Amino acid sequence: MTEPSSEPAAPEQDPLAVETELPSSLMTVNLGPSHPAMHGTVRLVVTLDGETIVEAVPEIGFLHRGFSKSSEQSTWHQVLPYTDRLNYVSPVLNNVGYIMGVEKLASVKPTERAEYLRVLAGEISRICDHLTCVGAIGLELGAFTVFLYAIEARELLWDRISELCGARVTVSWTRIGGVATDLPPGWEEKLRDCLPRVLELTDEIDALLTRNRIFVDRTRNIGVISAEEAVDWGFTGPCLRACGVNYDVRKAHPYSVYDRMDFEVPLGSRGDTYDRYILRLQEIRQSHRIVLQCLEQLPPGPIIIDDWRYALPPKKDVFTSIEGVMAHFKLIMEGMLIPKGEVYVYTEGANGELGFHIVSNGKGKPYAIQVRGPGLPILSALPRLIKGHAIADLIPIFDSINMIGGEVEQ
Amino acid sequence: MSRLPILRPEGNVPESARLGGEENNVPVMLSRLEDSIGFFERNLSNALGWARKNSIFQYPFVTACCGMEYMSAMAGRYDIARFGAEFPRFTPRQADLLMIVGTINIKQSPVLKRVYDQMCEPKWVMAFGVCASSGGFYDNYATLQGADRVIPVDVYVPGCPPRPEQVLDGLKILQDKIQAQRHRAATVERSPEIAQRDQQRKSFLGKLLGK
Amino acid sequence: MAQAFIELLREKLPDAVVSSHAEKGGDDVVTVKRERLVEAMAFLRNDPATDFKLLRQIAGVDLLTYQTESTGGASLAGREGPAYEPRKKSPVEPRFQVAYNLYSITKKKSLRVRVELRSEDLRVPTVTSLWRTADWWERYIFDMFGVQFEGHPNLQRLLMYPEFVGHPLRKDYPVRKRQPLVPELDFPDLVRGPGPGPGGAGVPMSQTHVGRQNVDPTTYD
Repeated sequence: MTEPSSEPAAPEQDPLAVETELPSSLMTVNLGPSHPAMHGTVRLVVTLDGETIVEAVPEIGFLHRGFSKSSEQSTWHQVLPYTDRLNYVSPVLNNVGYIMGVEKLASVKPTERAEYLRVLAGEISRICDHLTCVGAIGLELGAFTVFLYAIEARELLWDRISELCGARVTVSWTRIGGVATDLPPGWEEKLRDCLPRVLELTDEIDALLTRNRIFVDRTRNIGVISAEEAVDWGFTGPCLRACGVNYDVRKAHPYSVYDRMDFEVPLGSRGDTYDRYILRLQEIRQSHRIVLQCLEQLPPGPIIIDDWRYALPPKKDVFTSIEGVMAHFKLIMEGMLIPKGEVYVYTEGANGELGFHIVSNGKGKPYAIQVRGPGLPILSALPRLIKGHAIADLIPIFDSINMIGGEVEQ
Repeated sequence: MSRLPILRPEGNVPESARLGGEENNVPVMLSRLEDSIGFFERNLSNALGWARKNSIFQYPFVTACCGMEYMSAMAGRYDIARFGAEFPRFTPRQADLLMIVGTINIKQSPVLKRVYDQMCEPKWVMAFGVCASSGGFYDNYATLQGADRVIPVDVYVPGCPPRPEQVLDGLKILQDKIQAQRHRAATVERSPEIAQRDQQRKSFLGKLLGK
Repeated sequence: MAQAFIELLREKLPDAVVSSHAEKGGDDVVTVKRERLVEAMAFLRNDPATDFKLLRQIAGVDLLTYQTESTGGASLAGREGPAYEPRKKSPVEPRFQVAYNLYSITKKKSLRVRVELRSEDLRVPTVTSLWRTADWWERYIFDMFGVQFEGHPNLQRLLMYPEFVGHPLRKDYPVRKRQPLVPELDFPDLVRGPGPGPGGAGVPMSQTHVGRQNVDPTTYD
């Protein structure tokens, strides 16, 4: 496609010819950091040729909250609320990822019941993340009903999460060696009651969008990327699997109790926006399978280890024994003394591989933590994804990559 | 002896640029307030207050995790549409409530200020969440310690993130505040720059005769 | 785990490898010389036996206070200033480490390649020619630590704004030293620290420091 020049076409070539190319220059538009899309804050400076995007320069940093620096000032458990707010649509997965890293450094294995509970809550969080993403895709393409259904499904799950973990969104639920709270009585029945409704709503969303002509036209072959290029750009998670690369950390390097779960990993073929959307719907269904299996296999037992170097002693020991109150005091005031070392722990977050590079110097607070947010490499490839498309295509592409500002910008 | 806090309708800013610095001596108790102003002004204020509070066009300045609870507040279960505030206007020119949802960091603060400046009077600001109210627990080099450091805020909704019921409570408080704002029929609300410009343009006779 | 790959690297480029070890939790780490970094990375990426096609992350660590940083009172937001006098020469050398976390999808192996840097010579050759994702990660390390990546196409700050002075994740950058962009509003009830700080008398303090006496005003905004 020829780029139109700024000067008008030379008239001496054929004075009677109709000018088919309007002499125009490129236009720069700023899609500012205050986005109507609820995706955090990214500034995109796009250069347009008419409606076609010629170049785009993303600028981030508008949600940089100093996670690494703040976590260096807090004890190992005080970092947990900071990790919640990294990927705030699926906070349990962040908690699990971080605390697994700390457990690796401390060479501590959590109790079995805690492992199952972590997977259970983690998969519920993953369903919430995918619902939010699909809801946002619908919302921004004009399908407001899809958004309402997705948010209602998410509310049902958040009711369960709030009964289990104490909070709807930012839970800070895992602890070194286990989790903080156990299932309240009657929770399992309530979950089994609400899951079919969540699946019903997912099926409704599916029925509304998947074979919808408008939706397909807006998302098919939009934002295509090949598998090799995706790996080169550092993609992981649903965006990579939409290109056909079968890399899911839960299958490749099973951690926690994922090796005992029977589930499939959906794979796309074209790497376009439509595949990413379909993949997320399928992953909701697979996560649902995992949740049911967890409920069946959940063993009884303690939810946190009995090691008072890392886990807070039970309250009755704190109030009745010297060792209990001393252990409690040391753990709260000084933090758990995690041995020296460095680890990169990677888990499958909802958007991709969520990694934590944790360095400990043997003291009660982390020496350095750096998050590998799955959204950062995908966002860095955004100019490559949107180049050549119309500006209206930018919205479905940006939604389908599910960039969460918290994890990209720490 | 404890002092009663004086509720200023224009927000907790000493010199309100928006209302010309007048009305600093508004009595607190509403019944006295109703008596102290005239019939016409009272009804005009009540009518304008009622109309404005029930048709809030919000500009959701969504940055972070509070956006999730914002979505919940907008959606079917904790319906904010019951209060008339469901229509997000994604341009500040058409909005009258700036909801600062989520953390504002220092890089974002000029953007926030500019968005606030682009809004037309009358405008209100709701700080949604503790990060917007006071910086939250991000007390570090990157985070602005509360949006009220750069723009005046009318309602603070604490919570991390606040439950949608808290948001609706904050909206109710804001609606009470909007209802309580007084409007004198005789004067027009002007920003001080415009008032000064008009003053300069008046002739000698105009200044002699007063407003 | 990935020990075999480290051996391959040692065979191919023996003088590039400085050391290697296995960390807790199953990580394998190899430290390479900075000058041979691009060669070593190219080998690791392109050789079909290793096939490290996915660059997950480039992490940076500032080892300045590794021995001295302590806890106790950290949970009470105790220490305000840097752990040592910033103007002195750094007592710990090499001070910075840049770690490349690699992964091979086909071979299912992870590896960490580390480069150690001295504080007066913070330069590393870029690997953007090998992985396109390195672009933003290197910008992040530059932004947070000040490491210059030679050959990078666009080495600018990624997360902080251009007017920001300093590199925040260095251990000698005080955690609460804010550099505001917009002049802040004046409130009569805003708690002010001991003045005069930068910008006039009584620098406003954040809410966690109401009433503190022993604060260094240069470390606040």
